[in-house]
Amino acid sequence: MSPKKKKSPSPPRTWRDLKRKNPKTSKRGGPSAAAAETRNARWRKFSRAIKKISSLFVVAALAAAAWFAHENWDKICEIPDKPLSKLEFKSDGVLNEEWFVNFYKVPKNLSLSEIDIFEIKEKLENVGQIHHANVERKYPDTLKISVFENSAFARINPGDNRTFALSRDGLVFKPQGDLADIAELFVEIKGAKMEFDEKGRTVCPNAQQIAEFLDVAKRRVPEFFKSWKVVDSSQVSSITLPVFTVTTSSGLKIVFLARDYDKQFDRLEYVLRYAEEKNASKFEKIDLTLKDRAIVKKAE
Amino acid sequence: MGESKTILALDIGTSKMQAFVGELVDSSRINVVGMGQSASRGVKKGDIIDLRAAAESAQVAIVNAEKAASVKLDTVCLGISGGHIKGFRNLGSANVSGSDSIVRKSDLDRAKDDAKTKTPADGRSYIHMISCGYRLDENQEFVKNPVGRKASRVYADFWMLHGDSEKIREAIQIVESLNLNVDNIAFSGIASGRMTTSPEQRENGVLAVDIGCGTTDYVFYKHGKALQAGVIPVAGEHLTNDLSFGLRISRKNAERIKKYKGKAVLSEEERKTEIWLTGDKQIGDRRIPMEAINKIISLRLEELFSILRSDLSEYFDEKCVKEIVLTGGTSKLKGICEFANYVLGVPCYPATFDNSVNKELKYPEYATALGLLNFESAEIAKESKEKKGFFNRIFGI
Repeated sequence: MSPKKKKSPSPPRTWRDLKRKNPKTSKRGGPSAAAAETRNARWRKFSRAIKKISSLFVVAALAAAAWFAHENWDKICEIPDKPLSKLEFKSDGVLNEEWFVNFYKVPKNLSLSEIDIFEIKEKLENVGQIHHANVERKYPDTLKISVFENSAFARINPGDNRTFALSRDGLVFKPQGDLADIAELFVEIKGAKMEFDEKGRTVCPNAQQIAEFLDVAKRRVPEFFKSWKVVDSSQVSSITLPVFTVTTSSGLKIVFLARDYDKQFDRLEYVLRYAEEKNASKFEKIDLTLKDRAIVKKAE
Repeated sequence: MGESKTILALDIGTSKMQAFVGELVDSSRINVVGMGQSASRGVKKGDIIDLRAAAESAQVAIVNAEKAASVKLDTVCLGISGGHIKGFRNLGSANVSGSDSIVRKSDLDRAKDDAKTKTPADGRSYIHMISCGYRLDENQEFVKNPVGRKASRVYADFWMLHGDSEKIREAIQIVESLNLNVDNIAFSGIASGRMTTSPEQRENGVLAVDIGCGTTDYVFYKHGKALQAGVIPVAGEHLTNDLSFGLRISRKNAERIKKYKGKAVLSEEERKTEIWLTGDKQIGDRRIPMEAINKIISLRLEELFSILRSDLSEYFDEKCVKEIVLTGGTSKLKGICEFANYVLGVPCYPATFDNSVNKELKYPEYATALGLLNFESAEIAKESKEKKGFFNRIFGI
């Protein structure tokens, strides 16, 4: 006979054994657990239950959203693609939508996504008048173009009936749109030194100097400036005597030293005022290059 | 900086319910971050007599403490007391397994397990099984750590503190009805003893006595361990009743006289003085001799300390009790320490707290709640140490 296995004694009863699992009644009778439930206790249970239910609800909502996104991911990511029907063209200069439409023919059978906006941007930026361009797709059917133009202040005629505009940063470009007409009214710059930059564009290194001179002139003698036709800047880089020679519409030649313009304009104003007051005959040439004097040659 | 854990302690008393919320930082420091109190209802002499009323009072204290700390907690460390709590000494033993008769840790563990297998009487449940130390063979001398010593048999000495299962369950239900879980239960005397005695005092032999409103809880420490703990169902409420009955005054007046005029020891000049009952000298006001008040108080206190002496007779007779520390609301009675010294023949001092306790909380009536926080933090530290030990064993970390 195998020996009986000795049963190990059950552990003693401690207070932990008394912790409620599901005691409904006590020895003294009646639902002692329920008797301890006060209003505070019921409210606490209720608010905890509400919090648990809300958390479950939030988790369920997140799970439903994740499932919906998973099922319809392609539809969500799909961008509605229609053919181009609207064009928004903006410029800070004189170019307009009509000019762009003539400049770039957008293929009609292409959807908005298929239009090569980089090609359009490159083509626009190759136009000398345009400094830089932004081309955007605005879904579902709009192409938005913003261009920023170079500002011209003078014209250059190379002698073959072509007119080029000169910008302040020296770029020489063919004027587009309304600028082509406006440029005819600009002062012509003759004898300007020309170079090519790294992008192969024609630039005038003295443009800044010429622009400064013309700004001072516009400010000092605004009415007289309107009669200026040509500014010869061929001598502006001379070491011995850098000069600008201005020719007005009446044929008058004025020679300015290419620096210290204010005193020269003081003398010029004096000469013009003297001529007007004294009703003097026309001048052929005014030389302002000497210090403190002006040499005037009367017309014959 | 280490992890912090927030703990809630609830002391169910006869006069008031106290709930403290503490933040345990770095597993050692406790910052008290919230406190709630409410007048205790449904509790008499530490026993719950009206469950709903006691639950309402406890819940008010807990909710106030949580509001003060701006936190909602799930677990509580519960402090209980009451005349139903009793203790007895239990000795577990085990033979030393090694052939060399050297005591090992496994022998101590078997001796402890043997002691813990003793079942309590019907209707009773253990609250604490307090390890009091070890003895070797027939030698009655206490040994703190017998590992490495030679013996054939080792005895583990335990003080088994137990209470009425129904009353303990009701205390648990008060907490569980508020959807809180009772993490630990501690005897109020042990909780207040931890806070009001220093390790040096516990090593030398100190008796911590918490004289509350309904009960007097005590715990005796020696060699750094609690050797005996118990409850005496005589406390401040009895003094009030005695004054009310003896002087034929209302309980309200008796309570006021005890608090503000009562003295356990009178000088010769004070014996001749009288006090006005209400002090407004209206109709009904009368003079009461201080001597009468003192006599009533001293008789009851003498009874209390005599019971204390009788419960701890073996320790008093062997002069193991080197000093007594009094705490609890009733310990604020003037002259009580001198009176205890006179009755028990042992130096008696009012409770003091160490520097870790905030200045605003250094009052004897907070000793139990603070002790419960301390008790809970020690249990948490023990648990985490056991967990680390488990991981070390499994993963060899």
